[in-house]
Amino acid sequence: MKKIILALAVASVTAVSALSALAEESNPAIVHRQGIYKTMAGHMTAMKSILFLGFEAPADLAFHAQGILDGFGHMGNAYPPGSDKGETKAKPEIWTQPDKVKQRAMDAVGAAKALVAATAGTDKGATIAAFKSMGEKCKACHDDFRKE
Amino acid sequence: MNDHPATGGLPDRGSPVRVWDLPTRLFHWALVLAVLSAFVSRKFGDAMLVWHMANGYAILVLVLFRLLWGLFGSTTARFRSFLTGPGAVIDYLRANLKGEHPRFVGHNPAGGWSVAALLTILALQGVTGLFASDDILVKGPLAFLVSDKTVALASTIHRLSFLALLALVTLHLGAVLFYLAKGDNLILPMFTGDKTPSQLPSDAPPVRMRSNGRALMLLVLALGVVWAGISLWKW
Repeated sequence: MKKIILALAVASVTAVSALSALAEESNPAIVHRQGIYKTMAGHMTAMKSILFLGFEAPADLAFHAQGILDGFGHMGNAYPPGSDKGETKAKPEIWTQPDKVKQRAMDAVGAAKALVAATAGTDKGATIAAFKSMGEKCKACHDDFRKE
Repeated sequence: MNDHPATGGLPDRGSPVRVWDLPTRLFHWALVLAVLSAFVSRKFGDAMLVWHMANGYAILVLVLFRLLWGLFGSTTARFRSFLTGPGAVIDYLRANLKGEHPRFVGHNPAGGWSVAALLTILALQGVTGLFASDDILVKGPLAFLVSDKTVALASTIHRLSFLALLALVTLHLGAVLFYLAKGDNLILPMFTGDKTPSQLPSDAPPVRMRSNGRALMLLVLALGVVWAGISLWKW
């Protein structure tokens, strides 16, 4: 009898911990910033379809570029203290090297502004160049501050 | 006869012996170029990763070819000739620790397993790359087949196993330099295919070479398998 109870206890603890690992992330700062990042990634993907895959919507490029720039504007305080607790790929360095994070963010915002400017014109080559530059700024920050 | 001045301190007598066939040598240097290019194009190249992905496909083809050549190729290329038991590896390492210089026709026992490890990690890199995403612009061609969680996992493995690859390559280069310091140049034979008698064991068994045509056939087979593995899912 004791053995059965013990086995049940072990099984339920295992089950609960497995379930909690599956549960949705509930740290509000993590949920919010991941939502914003996904929004921006969605704009990038949509732009890719127009610039490289032949989707016919040249007028939408400006909308997506503005969406990316607005995304940065709506991140607010994206990395408040404590928002390293949860399922996140944010490296601890984000909280120990704020100046460097700020530099990377400013670079990315600069690239987003250049992308908005490029999409205001009709030069597809210029838009592609600005788009790639945007991707490189994303990557620069990922390389430094996103866990593998 | 001194075609190989780089053999340094070792006495050099007799004519050179062909140990590495042309396919193995071409494979080796093509793999070096593909891996270097995959690294450079990911680190410094275009954000669309066009080259990086092309290099990845090339690595998959090359590794698959090497697996086939390890089964059906020339003696020194065959896994059976260089994947030994742990005893042989320990004996070999111990002999080196004692300052001895054991000689082998093809791969030494430790080097053989290092080849197997390199091929394994490159296959892992190639396959996880197919399912990976950079979370910005580019997804591997098979990422659409699996869930987002699996894509994230494949990407993580892809990034982490690069570190393992780096460690193995460092070990590989270190071993070659170690041999070079002993006056045994292993780099030149990977170009010319030939070792000098001083680099070989006295009781060296003959190397049975297989034809380049057979290698070409296996390469085409590898190419076909990789191409099919990537494209058939879309039908």
